[in-house]
Amino acid sequence: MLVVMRKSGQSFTIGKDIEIQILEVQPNGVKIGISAPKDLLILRKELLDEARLVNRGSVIKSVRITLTDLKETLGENE
Amino acid sequence: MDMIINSQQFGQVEVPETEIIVFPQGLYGFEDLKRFVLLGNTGESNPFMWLHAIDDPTICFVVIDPFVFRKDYSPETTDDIIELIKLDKAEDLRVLAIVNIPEDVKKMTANLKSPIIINSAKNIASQMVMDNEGYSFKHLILDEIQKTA
Repeated sequence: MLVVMRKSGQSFTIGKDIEIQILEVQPNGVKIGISAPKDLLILRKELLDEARLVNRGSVIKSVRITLTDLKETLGENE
Repeated sequence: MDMIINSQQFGQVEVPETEIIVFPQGLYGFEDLKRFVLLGNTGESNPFMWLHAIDDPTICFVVIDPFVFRKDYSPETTDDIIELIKLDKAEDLRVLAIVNIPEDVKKMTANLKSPIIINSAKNIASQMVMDNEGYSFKHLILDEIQKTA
């Protein structure tokens, strides 16, 4: 991993289109500004990790589940 | 031409090529799976459907029309997603939420934080992640229904 030392207000670039600027450094966190093309998805890593985890956990493993049963489960509570 | 899926869940399923939904970026955690199909029971009106991978017979999800239990649901689509699914008419937009079904079915949850959005005219879709506090990855569906009742 490339490690870059930056101070508040300084920035660095990735390729031609991406600029990362350090806006503010505080004891409990760093505020970062990102300028990037709109088609690039920028996500907090923990959010991406959780989206993957939740999807993997949602794969159907039981062949006993039917759509009709699920619908009836909804109906029972209406 | 029809595609044949040897589904672990349903056995052999024939899918007309016109019904294949392309996910250019796959799903989170399944980035390599780019083609899915929605399967339902013919003649039955049901907010639940199967979302089955074309290229992996073991990968199948239950999805739900989220507006059935959250009428106020409003996923914020971004320009890049709209561009990705090549949406030009708002009425072609279809939104689905992946359902997680635990041992106790009554505790099933829907993922409203990363819904699947589909351009139903072109069958191109994407799963997005919303970076806001309003929605979570696991909404208890039956609780939500009781809240609105």
